[in-house]
Amino acid sequence: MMPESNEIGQLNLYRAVNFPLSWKLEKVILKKPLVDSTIVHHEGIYWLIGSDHTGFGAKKNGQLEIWYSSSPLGTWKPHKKNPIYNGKRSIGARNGGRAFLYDGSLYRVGQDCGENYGKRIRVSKIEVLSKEEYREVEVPFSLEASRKGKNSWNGVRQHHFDVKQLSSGEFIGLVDGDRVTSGDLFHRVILGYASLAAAISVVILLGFLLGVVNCIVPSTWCMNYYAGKRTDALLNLETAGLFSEKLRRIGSRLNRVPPFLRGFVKPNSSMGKFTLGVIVILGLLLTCVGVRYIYGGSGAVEPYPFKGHLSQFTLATMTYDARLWNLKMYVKRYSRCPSVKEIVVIWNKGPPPDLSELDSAVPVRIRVQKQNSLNNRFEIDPLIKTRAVLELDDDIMMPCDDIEKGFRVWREHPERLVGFYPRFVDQTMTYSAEKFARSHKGYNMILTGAAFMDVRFAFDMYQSDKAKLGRVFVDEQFNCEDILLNFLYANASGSGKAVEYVRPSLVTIDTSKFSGVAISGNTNQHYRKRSKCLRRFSDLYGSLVDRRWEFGGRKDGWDL
Amino acid sequence: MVIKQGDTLYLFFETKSPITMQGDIGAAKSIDKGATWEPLGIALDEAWHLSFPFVFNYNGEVSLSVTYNDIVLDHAFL
Repeated sequence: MMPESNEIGQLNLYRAVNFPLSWKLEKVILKKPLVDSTIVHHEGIYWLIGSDHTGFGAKKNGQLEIWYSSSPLGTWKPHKKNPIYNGKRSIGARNGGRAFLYDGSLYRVGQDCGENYGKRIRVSKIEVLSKEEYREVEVPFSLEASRKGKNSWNGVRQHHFDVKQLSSGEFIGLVDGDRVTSGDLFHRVILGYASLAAAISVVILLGFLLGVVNCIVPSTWCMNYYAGKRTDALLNLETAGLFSEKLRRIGSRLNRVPPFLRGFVKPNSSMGKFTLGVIVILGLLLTCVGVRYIYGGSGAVEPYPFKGHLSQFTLATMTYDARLWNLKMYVKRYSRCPSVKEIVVIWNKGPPPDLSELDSAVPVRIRVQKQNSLNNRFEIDPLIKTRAVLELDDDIMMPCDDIEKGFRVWREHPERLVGFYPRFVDQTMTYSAEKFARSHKGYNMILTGAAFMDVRFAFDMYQSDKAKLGRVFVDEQFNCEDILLNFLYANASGSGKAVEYVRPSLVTIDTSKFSGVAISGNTNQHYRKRSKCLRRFSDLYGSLVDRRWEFGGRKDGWDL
Repeated sequence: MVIKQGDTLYLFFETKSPITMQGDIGAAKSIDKGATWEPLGIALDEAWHLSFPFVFNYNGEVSLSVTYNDIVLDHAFL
């Protein structure tokens, strides 16, 4: 290995000593810092395609050159037309993967660095490749991109595409992705420290104003210096004297700053107090911003893997025309959660909205129901492709992270009903709010206004003959479909745990409390109806009274 | 990039620490046409930034060429 090699930049070739983890440097094949280079064997000649950004006048991410040889070990000769490109960054000059052969034609993969480094992939068909000529033309290439932005692993950038044909003739393609722009971490750290520096300045300013901090440069500092130098030669004495005199003047000028500022702001006047308040708030704000930039990560919501794998679910909500405003907000918000694959809107009443009215990052399907029935929520739907469904009411606004946590917990126990609103039913059979469950330190129901379930297990059970009397009662009351599902789950689970709670964060908002279009609007009447349901379903499917699951059973504290 | 040996797929990729900004070449293996991958470890680690591995068979030997250049600091994870 050549010691200076990393300084001048070059292209190395390593040989596998013990594939795939042990490699030995075989040869420096090109003494040029060629980046993102790929070799293709075409018509008996090896072609090396890459970019050299170090040459005079080379456009970064817009340069491309070709070298050729009869062997990959060299000697490599430059193509007559080099550089092939040296211009716009958006045309995909820089390679974004290996060149590949398809249907008798060669294709080159390039990365479009127009807006940001490695923004997207472009593919060009190589029409002419000879020692004298090179011509390529861009071909349509579509790579399904996520619209979830930074919440998706490939939401912001894709800059590598590698394709390989398998023995079966099928192609396998590998792509990379990024949820942040190039240099994001660097920008965050710079902004973070800048904010903290500003916050520190604000604190010092505040110290000046309150008289806690005084900038005093004692003039004796300079005097001592002067005194110590007294025995020096004349010339030395004079320059030292001049210097210390200057220092003393600067010092005394600095000493005048705090009283001047105090006089300017007048901390004791009401205006002064207001100014101090504003400065305190500004300092706190800058500190928060700084800490957030440095420690807050990219701000992306990431899914929680289970056994090393990620998964997706279908989000379902039941609504009608009076709640269109809610629905629009719901779709816009939740379609951007990482694990949401599709949204199904169960449309119970009135003219359904046009899909173009909804701003969604995932496919939305509106299922118009013939009847306005709460049983529609659990209607068997062969178009739902995922095993998990999150039933989530359109008036609940919770952070994506809560939902991701719930999904992770459900995947640990897909046979359970996993949700965010716990209830406890005791022998009095009176329906009560979460406070009651908290005071009894346990729960035996999870409301399906926000709950994950196994779509086949739950819906098949709900629509079974056994549950028919329950469904009739739900229609009579126009309430309690969630209670019925809880009784069915408990009934099917034997003595096992049928429901599981995940604590939503404090920022979760139930907008039904403001809008007044929810069936739970009149609390007393609503609770009376639900108590009636508890008694009816206990008679039909057995009681929940002997069941109670405690809060805080999880090690991660998600169910506290 | 991915290469095939029999029915086994080997993936070579740049793995980069966002703190040191230096990339190494990692390797992973799949025996189910890419559905699942088993990380094997670091295949190549030099004192400088490595990226864009290109692996090929030549005369029965497997060879690897990599891009490395101190100036290229803005590579994303592959």
